[in-house]
Amino acid sequence: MKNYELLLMFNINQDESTLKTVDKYKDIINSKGGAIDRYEDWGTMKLAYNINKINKARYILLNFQANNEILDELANLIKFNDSIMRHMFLAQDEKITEPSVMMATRERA
Amino acid sequence: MSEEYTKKKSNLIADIDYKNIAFLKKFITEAGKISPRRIGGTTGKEQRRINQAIKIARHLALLPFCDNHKQ
Repeated sequence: MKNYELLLMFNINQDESTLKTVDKYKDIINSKGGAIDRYEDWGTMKLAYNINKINKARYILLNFQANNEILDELANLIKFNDSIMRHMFLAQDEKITEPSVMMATRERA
Repeated sequence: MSEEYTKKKSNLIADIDYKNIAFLKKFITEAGKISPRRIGGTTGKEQRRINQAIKIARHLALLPFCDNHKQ
């Protein structure tokens, strides 16, 4: 098991399915022996530049422990999900549970 | 005689993260380009990690690539 971070950018025009999709991904991680360390919903944010003429997206951040099997399954699901505009998997050295900078500044504001 | 000059130890590594947009903005120019080390005053190790973080943030549309994106 290794530590990973996943950032998802959802199209806000199909917002009903966002939380359902995220819950599905969480279930996959938990049911296959992984664990979720951190879950953050940054809400709708303006993009620095337009992607396919869209200027807003909803950001979801997930930190989890997983193996290759889980990662492959998630990567495949994300690839064929039309409501996810972009995503990024990052390997982390250790598990992270504190809120990220983005959330910390948001709460102050 | 000249005073002994010791370089101040910079300590930016802990802050470098693609999510820390306010911090990364210090190291890009007005046009959105990555500043050279001589401007930011970073060490080699810091500059490599900052470059990587800025490029990740650009892919996720948290930072711009340039200043003339169509809006």
